[in-house]
Amino acid sequence: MAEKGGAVPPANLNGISRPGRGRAVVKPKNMKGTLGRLWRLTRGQRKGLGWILLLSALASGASILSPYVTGLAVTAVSNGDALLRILSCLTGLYLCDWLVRFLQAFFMASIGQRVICHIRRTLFDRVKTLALSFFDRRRHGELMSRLTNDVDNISTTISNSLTLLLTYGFTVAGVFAMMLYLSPLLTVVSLTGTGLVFLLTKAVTKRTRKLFAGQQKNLDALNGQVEESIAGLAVVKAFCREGEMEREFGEKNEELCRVSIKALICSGYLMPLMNVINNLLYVAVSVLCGVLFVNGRITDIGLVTGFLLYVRQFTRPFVEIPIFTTISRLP
Amino acid sequence: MKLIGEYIQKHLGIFLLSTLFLTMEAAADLLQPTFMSFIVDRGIRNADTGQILLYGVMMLGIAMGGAVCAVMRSRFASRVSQTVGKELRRDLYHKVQQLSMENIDRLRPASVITRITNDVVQIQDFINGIMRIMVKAPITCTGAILLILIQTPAQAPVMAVIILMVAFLVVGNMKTGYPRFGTVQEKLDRLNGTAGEFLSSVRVVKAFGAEETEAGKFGEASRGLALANTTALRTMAVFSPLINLTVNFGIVLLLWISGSRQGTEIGRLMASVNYMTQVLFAAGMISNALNTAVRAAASAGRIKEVLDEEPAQRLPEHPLRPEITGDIRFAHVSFSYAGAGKEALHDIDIRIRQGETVGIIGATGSGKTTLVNLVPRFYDAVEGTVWIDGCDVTQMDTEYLRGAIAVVPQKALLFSGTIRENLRWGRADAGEEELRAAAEAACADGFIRQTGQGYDTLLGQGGVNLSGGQKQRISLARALVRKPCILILDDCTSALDARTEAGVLKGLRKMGGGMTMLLVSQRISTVMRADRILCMDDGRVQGYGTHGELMASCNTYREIYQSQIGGGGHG
Repeated sequence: MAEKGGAVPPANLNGISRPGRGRAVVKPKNMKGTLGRLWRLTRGQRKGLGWILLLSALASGASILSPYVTGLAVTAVSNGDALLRILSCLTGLYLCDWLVRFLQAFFMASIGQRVICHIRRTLFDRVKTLALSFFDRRRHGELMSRLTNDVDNISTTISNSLTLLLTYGFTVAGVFAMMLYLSPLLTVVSLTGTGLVFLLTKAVTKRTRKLFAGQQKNLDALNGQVEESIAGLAVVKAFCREGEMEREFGEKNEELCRVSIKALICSGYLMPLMNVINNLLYVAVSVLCGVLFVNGRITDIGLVTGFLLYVRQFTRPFVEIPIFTTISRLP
Repeated sequence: MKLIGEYIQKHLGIFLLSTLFLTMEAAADLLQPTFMSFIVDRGIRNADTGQILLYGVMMLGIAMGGAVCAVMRSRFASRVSQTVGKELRRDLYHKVQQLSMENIDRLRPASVITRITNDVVQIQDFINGIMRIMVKAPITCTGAILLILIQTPAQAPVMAVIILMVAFLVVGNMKTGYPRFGTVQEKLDRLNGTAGEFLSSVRVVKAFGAEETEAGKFGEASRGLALANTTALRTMAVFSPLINLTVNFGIVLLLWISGSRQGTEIGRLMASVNYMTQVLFAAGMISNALNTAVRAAASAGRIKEVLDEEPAQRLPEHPLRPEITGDIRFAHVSFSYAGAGKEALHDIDIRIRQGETVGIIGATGSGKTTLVNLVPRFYDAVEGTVWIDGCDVTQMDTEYLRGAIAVVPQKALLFSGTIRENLRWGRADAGEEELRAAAEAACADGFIRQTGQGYDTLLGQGGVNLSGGQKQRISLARALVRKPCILILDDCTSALDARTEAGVLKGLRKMGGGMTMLLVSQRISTVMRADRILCMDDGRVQGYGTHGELMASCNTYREIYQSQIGGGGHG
């Protein structure tokens, strides 16, 4: 059984689902310090965040409970028992899940945007008081990107990472509890598999992060050349340097392409590799379940169903968290 | 969008290969629940461990096969997307170099830069994602639906209803989302614009103490964006959970129907539930793909605009290369900028002799820069002709023409690289002595030697930052290295103090050598000593002659003289 609950990929606050891969993200030098400063920046705008936290906690509820109830339903079907009560329970659960998700997204939309707006304006207020030498020393484009793009990235960090971390945190705890309740033996098996997935994810993301940093550097160099040569187009034409400019551009362009392909291919290994391990785990658990069932150790087919669903729920956070915790370059 | 298709077509082979692997990957994904059901129905049910293991191994095999396909797909998709991006950038850049100033003015330099950098990235992302989202999701969706129907035909009516509802929701999401995301883009552009304006005129802002006003503008744009985003996100908040709920209901119904029938195979049931979830996931992806598609389409449109742009200047069919000595004649030349209501130049009819130094003076907006821009053919006269040494400039080989002209613009533009490299822009094969001589004449040699590594000092990002006056002098030296027949100085001594300016002018006169000099300035002290002075006002020639002649006959000139140097003088 595949993922349930939270299957729709979260959109970031700009409403654009930017894939986590393919975007160069660089970890700031001092994660804790930077995060702390980010948090302080939001001072005065934190109204309503409490509700979001509560809703995030509740959102994990469906992920924790629905596999169990579905399992009960499957058991009832196989035994020919009356389904009505269980199914209404399940329906009720799904309705609550819908309500919670809707409210969470609805409120996050306005609260999140308010925070971003505040951060943007605070940044601008600070920037406008800086001395002229600051502006001379930096490229126009770079400052622009700080004010617009980088604040975008911060919003992604805040919205995605925060709510996801919360939801996943609760989910993992709850799912773990349920799994233990259902079958300690199977839980142990799952844990080893999950651990493997986690380690692998970390290893691959480390490599891809380096490659993406390299790509970003190349991109910066290319953009710099483009900006210069177009802003100074009159001079380029006056001194007949069109050919030379194109040559320089061509070099940087080729290099960027080369590095980008490498980075993307490397990041392309991640999902398939994880899928394989996931499936390995899945198969192992299924086989084990089957054997146990056959030997009469487990009598409840619904339990098998439920447990397999839980396995899927359990491994997902360990996969997604490393991806989402790469925070982008911060000013 | 067609543009994207055109570029992909160049790599159609790889693209199709990638799609093939994607299909196999999707197939592998779809088969897994089926095998899962086999394990349950044939293995567990019949208490047959062997069967369990068999199907387990097969499932693993399929998973690995799927993984291999995914990796291959990623390889090829990456190659296609990045190569298309590279080609788009290259073509755009090449086109931009071919366009004339008028084209660039119309497209606006900042916008052109964004198109080469940002818009291409949007398209790259789109192509990369197009596989996963636009191809895999539909395949998974249809495959899952088919498999549900095959496995449990009794579910068909339920499935139909669910599918319809989901489709309805997805379409609804797209329809309401589309305009809202368009608005978000607009607001984002405005925010960028406001930030850009501030940054490019920061000096002016500070000079007028207008920081608060700017902050106000920025704040307003920021609020506008926040509002647009909130609306768009709230739309998504409505639809996405509803899609979730619908599919979940489908699962409940499936369970209900199975419960009311006897002898249902649990495995099949599980598989069906699984497939429903896959349908859900795919539907969600499709509706989210909207955002990427909208952005990519907008970006493609902007890129196409540049690529379709016709160069405003027509190149001569048989470019001429006459000998250039520096004789310039404006024959009844009129000019106005594209889209401007007013004429910038009206009926200019003057002759500048070879070797002359002509000062050009006038108030701001009188047309001085416009006039000199016609000489190296940055713009073309709307009426009349510009003759250089008896040859119409529009009939001359442009590179040849510009090779004989050197321009020192108002705002000194230097490029990243060493000072020496910047000076070599004048002439790539200039020797060390020539560079030094030019720098001395421009009164730049002195400070260059004192800066960092002298001529090897790096300028630009990460390099040394020079003052405005220093940059102007290097800009001038660069022009002198060219040893031009015509030297155009467009108000380039504005950042120099009187003493340095005098030194520069002296250096220029020493270099002389039969060079025709057009000296544009607002300061009468600069142009006073020129051979002849052209006085302009409102795009027309008010007077043309020596200082003495103009003081006697030209009111405008006299006024300028009196306002700058003050009373007394000739009667």
